[in-house]
Amino acid sequence: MLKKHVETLERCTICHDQCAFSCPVFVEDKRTTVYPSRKAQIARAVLRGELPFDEETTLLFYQCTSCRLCWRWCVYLEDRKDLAPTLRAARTEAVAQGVLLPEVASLAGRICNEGTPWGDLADQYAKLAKEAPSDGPKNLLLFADAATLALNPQSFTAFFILAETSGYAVQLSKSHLTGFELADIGLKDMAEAKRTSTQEEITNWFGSNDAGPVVTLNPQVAYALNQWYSEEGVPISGEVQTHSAFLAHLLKGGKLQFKPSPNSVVLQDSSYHARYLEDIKSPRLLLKATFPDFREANPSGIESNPAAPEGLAPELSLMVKEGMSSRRLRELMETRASQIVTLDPYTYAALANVVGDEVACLDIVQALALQIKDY
Amino acid sequence: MAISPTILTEIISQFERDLTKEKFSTRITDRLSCARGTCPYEFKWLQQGQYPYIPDIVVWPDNTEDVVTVVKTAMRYKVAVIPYGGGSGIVGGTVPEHGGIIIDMKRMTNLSINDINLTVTVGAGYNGQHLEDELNRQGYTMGHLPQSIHSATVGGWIAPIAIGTFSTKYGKIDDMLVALEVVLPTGEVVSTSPAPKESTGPSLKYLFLGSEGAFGVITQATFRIWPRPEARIWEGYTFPTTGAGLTAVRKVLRTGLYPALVRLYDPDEAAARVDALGYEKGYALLFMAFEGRRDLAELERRVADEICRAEGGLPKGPEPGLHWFESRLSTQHLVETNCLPGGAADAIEVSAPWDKLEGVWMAMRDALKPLAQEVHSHFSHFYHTGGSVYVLFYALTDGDAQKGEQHYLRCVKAAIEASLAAGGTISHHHGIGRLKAPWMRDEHGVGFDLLRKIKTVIDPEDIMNPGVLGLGGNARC
Repeated sequence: MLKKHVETLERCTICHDQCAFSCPVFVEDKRTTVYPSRKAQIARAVLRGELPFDEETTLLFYQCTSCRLCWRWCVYLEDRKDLAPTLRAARTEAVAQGVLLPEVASLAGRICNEGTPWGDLADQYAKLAKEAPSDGPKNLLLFADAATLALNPQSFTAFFILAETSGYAVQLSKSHLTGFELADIGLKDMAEAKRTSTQEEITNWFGSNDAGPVVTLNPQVAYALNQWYSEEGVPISGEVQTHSAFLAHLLKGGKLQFKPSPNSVVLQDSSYHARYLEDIKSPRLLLKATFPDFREANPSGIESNPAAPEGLAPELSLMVKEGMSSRRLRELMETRASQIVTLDPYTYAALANVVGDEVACLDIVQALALQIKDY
Repeated sequence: MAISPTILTEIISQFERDLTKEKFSTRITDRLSCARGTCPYEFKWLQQGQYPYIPDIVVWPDNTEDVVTVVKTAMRYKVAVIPYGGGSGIVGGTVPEHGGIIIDMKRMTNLSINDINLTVTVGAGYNGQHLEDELNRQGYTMGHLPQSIHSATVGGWIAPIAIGTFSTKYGKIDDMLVALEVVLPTGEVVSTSPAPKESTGPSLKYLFLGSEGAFGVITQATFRIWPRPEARIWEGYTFPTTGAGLTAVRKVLRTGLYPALVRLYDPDEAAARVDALGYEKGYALLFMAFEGRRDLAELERRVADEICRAEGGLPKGPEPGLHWFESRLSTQHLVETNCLPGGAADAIEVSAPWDKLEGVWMAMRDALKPLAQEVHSHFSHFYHTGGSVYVLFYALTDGDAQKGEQHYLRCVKAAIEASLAAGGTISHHHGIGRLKAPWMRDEHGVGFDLLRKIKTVIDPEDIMNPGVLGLGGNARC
């Protein structure tokens, strides 16, 4: 597993640390130990047998938010190195060798008992499935991912409004997990089973006669289904779209219109949207069309300093020192925008938790649903 | 492990009493992480297996009192103490040859801005890019933008007397530094005056600038800052020879212009960029940036343009400067070469007065050419009386990492001795560390004995970064 990543480990160890400042784990923790290059150095030492796989080394491999900012600032401009999958492989290998951190064991236990990292979401799903618009000339499949169901279920309702306005009936997916969330926490078999069933559901959807698009409110899901599934040898037969990509397409085609809002708005990018899917345009297109007073809050020219360990389940988030959301909120609030717009459920939940009453925090589909023309 | 188990136990007990448990560690992951900087020979050691030099303890102070505690404890037990900033040093300045205690300074991040005095007072562990971002947010710039800005810390800028790429206008770190706070090996704290100039005997500030942790631990510094410039205007030229480019730069500075940034690349180093931009093959490349009020920056650009054209420069507009700016932080070719076990690459930077500068460049280049597959040079810092030359070498041996290390040291020796023979220095802004320590006597002559005496007086037990600068420890001088 980790052996496959030997080149990244070499390159990231022998490096001038130009990514160090950007690592959100380092920004909060400030130990050299959590520099991306040092995590690589320790993983490399483990791979070479110079250090053991134990709780000390393994903990370091979990201290990564997968934000991909180290990739963004990599000195190898012509062949950027991505440490996140390498650390994921290190975690997977640690579990395979029997090193199960208590937090990981607790998370795995809950998933086995209740089905998702956020517990049993069946009631939430059933309620939303009833709300989904069922009449429309066109259909779409909305991936009912567990993170969004747990952290921002209102965004499903907002999306239903946007879809209905554009003439879409919405079917919620039966799958709630992609398997990506499970691969490095000791649930390899369950991860494979989820991947198989999810791939089957989406493949069947795309294969049906009146298949419309498949859309997700969680950019990590789009990354997992479009890219990770291919890397794992189980590609899906169509492209899963993020909310922003789907809605931007409707906007450009004149299928969706918004009334301009007098409110000022600042966008909090999603790491998966911006750096894995490399789409920073769609959300900006939508927001600029709706909020003429659109603002950016990005020092160092970074498209997004993360506000949360995006994609991580609660126990794994705890391994990253607290402070990301408060620090990022300060940067966002310095723009004096009256609304913060997020693109993923993890960031929405983290910012909503610290934002207070001074400014509104909404997911992009919520912000847009409030501005639908003539709705 | 260099500290005996008994003493280590006593030091740990002391730290448990005087610091909180979260502020120090004996975990191998923490100790290995701080065991190295980014000197190519440290990379070669990584490639040779078990790392040879590892500290016994890592401490993360978040205030000056914590540093005092650490230094006093080290003094009591006579163990080495090495202040550690961003780990970006490339001359082996933080190698824990004697084990001991690494003080990882990056939690020292207090910051206050004085708008009346136009200064910022900042903890020594503040990350460079985080500082510039914070200043920018509040409408200022420090103007200190070194290539290592993403990892280097404030203390790490002062320790080797560093410099940023926009130095011609904003100055070197020694020009920017207003005041310092330093913890001495005795645990006493020295604070220098924040006045802009004093006539109060030898300047203590300058005693610690460049001291690389040999005389104490820099804990805080006050720097001058500037209102964020309204405009940045780029202008570039190709020249048929490097000498013609150097003459143009010299004349620009003689006229009294201070572009924020001036960079001149010899034809070898310019080749890739010249090729990418479709300019005249075999030409040297110069570009400058003018910053400040838009009208003043534009006026400077216009006068510099007249001079460059008169010296044979072919104008290229803002393109080459912008092209460089986009990729300015990448060290891809250097790290790619050092990644190969037998590879050895580095950038050796020295300085010389105007009348020796071209000779130093040619001597270093000639000394390295037989040893390396590629030798490039550029001139990136210019002064009223001279400039610096940066010679980059990329050498490939077919041997292992040990051969790579030996060859690396051969290249460094050749470059430095060529510079000295041609009237240049042994370093311009990377510092001395342990890598260049063997040439400190050649550089300073009798002055080096004076430095040794100063070290003995300030640090009689030789606990402060022993060996750095060729002072104390097992210095190879």
